Amino acid sequence: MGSRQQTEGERARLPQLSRRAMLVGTSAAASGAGASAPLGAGAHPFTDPTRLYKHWVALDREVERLLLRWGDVEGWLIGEHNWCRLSEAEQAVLPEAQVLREVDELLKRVMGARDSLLDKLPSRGATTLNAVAARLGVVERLLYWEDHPEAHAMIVGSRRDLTAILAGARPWNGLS
Amino acid sequence: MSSRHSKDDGWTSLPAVSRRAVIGGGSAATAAPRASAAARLAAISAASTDPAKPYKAWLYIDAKISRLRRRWARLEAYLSNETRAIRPSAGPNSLPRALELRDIDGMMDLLSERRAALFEALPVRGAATLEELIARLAVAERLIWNDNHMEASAMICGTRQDLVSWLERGRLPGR
Repeated sequence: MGSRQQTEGERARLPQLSRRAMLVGTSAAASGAGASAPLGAGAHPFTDPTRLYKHWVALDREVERLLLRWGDVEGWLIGEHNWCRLSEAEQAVLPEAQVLREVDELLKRVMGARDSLLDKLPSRGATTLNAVAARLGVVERLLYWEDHPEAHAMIVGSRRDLTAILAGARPWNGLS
Repeated sequence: MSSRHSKDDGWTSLPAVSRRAVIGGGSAATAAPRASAAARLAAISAASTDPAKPYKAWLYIDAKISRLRRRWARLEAYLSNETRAIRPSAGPNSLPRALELRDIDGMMDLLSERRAALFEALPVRGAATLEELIARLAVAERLIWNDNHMEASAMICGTRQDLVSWLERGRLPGR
């Protein structure tokens, strides 16, 4: 990581991320108000479905962030160290590739946690509006906008409608 | 049609469909309920005050297209079995029931256009009632393919069912 920060190229302006932050799995996005818990300890010690859904969304965002990070680091290695021309053995011992290896390892862990949590998310039986809105937040991320723009827009719109109802920002004619 | 009914296989159980019924969008087996459904559909207008109605109209057309698609597939399979012995130079119109296949094709084109036109008018947000949210989720459920998005599909379906149960109870749950 040190060598990357000393370079003058555009890659040198990559957002800085400490190894500790990367391994703990926190990020600017995931450590904000939306994060439900740090990754790791206890995997998903929640029983409240709303927190389960939100935790899954936090994990999914973390996967997205790590994938971008992985691409940035690999791009830097390609530019600075002829990464694609190195053999696997050479890649494995290149000190500058340590960050990539760590991102790779963390990505596997976070993806594993995310995928196993998905199987545990209840698909029905919500008892609160919050749970339903949080569940739609999961659906929103499961559907790729590019594949289903209309369905995606409907899910996003429905989640926002529920959020508006929850916040009391919208008169609700259906039920009280 | 006669050749199919004379055979003693699974196809004899298919409901008889006249060309007129196909073009009209109905079948003999369900003509009466469908006629009333069509009347209900015709009653839906842009000035309707029920915000869930446009979604229901779309779902109705979509279900109709699905039914015709299944019918078309069965008929095509039947024709391909029946016409193996017919010489290749025979035109499609010389095949038994080929006209019905063509009519179903035309009907599906028409309905698909209507469905697309209805879809353009469906709001994606701003639901005023729980019923509207339920109907919108039902449309979203139809738009995605089950096989490709099993988890998302199950969650949309489950959410819709949760909302339906709240609607039946007549009150929203807590937060």
